[in-house]
Amino acid sequence: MLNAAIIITIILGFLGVVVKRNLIMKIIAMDVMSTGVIAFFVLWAARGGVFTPIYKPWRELAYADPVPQGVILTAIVIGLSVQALMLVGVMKLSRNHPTLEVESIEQAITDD
Amino acid sequence: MTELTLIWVALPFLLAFTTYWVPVLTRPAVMGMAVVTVAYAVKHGGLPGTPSLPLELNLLDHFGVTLRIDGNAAAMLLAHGLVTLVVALYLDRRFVGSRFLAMQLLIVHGSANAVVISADLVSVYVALEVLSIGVFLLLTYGRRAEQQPRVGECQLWVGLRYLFMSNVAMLFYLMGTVLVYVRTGSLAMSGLAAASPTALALIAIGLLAKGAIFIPGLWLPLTYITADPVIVAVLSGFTTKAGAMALVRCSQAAPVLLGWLPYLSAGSAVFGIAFALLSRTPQRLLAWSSVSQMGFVIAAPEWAGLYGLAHGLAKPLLFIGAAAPQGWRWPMAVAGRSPLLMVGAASLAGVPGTLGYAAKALSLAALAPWHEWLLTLVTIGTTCVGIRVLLASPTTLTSPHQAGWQDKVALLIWGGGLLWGWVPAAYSSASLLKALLSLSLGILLGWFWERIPLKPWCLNEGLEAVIGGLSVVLLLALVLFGGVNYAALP
Repeated sequence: MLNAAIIITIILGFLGVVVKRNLIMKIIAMDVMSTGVIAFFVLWAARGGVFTPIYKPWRELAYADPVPQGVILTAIVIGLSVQALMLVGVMKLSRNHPTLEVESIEQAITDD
Repeated sequence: MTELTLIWVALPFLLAFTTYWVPVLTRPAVMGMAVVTVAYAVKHGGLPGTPSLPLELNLLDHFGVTLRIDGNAAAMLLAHGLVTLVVALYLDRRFVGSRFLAMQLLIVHGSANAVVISADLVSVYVALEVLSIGVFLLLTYGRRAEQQPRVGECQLWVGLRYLFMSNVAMLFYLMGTVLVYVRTGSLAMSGLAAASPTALALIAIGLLAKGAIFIPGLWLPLTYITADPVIVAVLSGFTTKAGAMALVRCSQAAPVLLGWLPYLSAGSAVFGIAFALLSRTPQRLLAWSSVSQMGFVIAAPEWAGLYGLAHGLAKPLLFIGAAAPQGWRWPMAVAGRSPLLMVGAASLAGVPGTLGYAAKALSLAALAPWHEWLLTLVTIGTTCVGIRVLLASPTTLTSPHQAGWQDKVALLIWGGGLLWGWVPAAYSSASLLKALLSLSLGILLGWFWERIPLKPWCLNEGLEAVIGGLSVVLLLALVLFGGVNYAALP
């Protein structure tokens, strides 16, 4: 169930990347997609147990797998910086293309 | 050796951040780093025709974080070093912000090194993402003279498109990675042998998009045409190949992927050359031919590094030669054509004696017959492209610019590298005959092609076409990889 919801989030994000005409919307859709991927990692990490992987000698616990969590932490940071960088680029583009419609930007650039 | 390797991997990043404090050191640092990489590559058998000494480093206990330096990686490291060394010379004081570019070049160099030597999925992911951020900054800034505007709009758009496309593709790659980890409990590429076809398809799509192979490579032509030629030299020299090298390394571990690699390679070679033949400007010809050459790089996994080296030295020569003012005097330039172009085109087409020939002959000899003949046919097209690039360059020297000294150094290092690489194993009579035949046919074809009026055409290379191509190939890979796997079950 949770798995299906996550897959649907990823697919919706990707559809947004394909379908949306506005650059900002495309970037937000990409963020939705990456949120889905992060959740996908977290879900798979939790399949053996949901407890934070900190060893407690006095209790038997079903710990979550720390490796996918560690990996996705890196990916979150990278995703954040890529998005920040892209939004700076979009800010610069918006001076001459205030609507930020992808088609109009491409039209203007091929006309040059 | 372990410590040395780790220091060498970390050094470009350390140097890059140090140059923020000491900006004067930027260019020397880039050149020094490039020389260190060349030395490291030579030590590990990166020179064509020398035996390689594979080195494997296990960094974390059983999670499979591994570095592996084999023949392919060493050859590509040599290309990284040589391309970075010369490109650093082009980033001189005449341009504003060239120190920033040199710093980015250092980061791009370091992350490309990390991509080709890592043998686990997550290190490849991180290195490829750092690479794409560095390439984005290189693309959007470019070299800029004093009076030019800060960031050209076309460059900005092309860079954004690259970053967007690569980020989406790498998200698919990440999903593939977790599927592999769940099944095998390790992040090493060797786990790919047991991976599900869905995971393989997701991983492959990320690497295909980064390596500009087949339809996911649709982003490449406009990017190469728009960007500054020196930056394109970096892209065509090694950053685009990093994705292809990672794909080759994954396919060496995964039999399903290895089975599909020839089809991807043939598809990319034909797709690229078909559009290259229909193009008219030299830059566009070269850009489409790059897509086609990526198919050659992944054709034979054991020779991928050598082919990457040959192509990584030839394409920068061609891109810089096509953009540079013609200013070579007689002994170097025949009929007003820049020797940069001539050496590059000769190696691209595979004239015997160049490294391009050796790489092509060795790769083609290792292939299945249908694949070999198809790629030989594509080689005729590649020769035709080379001829047309030579013919397209202006032959009348109205204002004889003196060729910059950087051009001469580029010719010396890149062209010298192409001519010096002598691999005796490649000179069998069958390969020589095939090369000469395809060369002569290609030269004839190029001569006639120039006289055929081509209708102007326009392929949609917009962002949506790029993403659309990506999703079509993703669906195709999901269906095909899965289908083949189930067909192979008893």
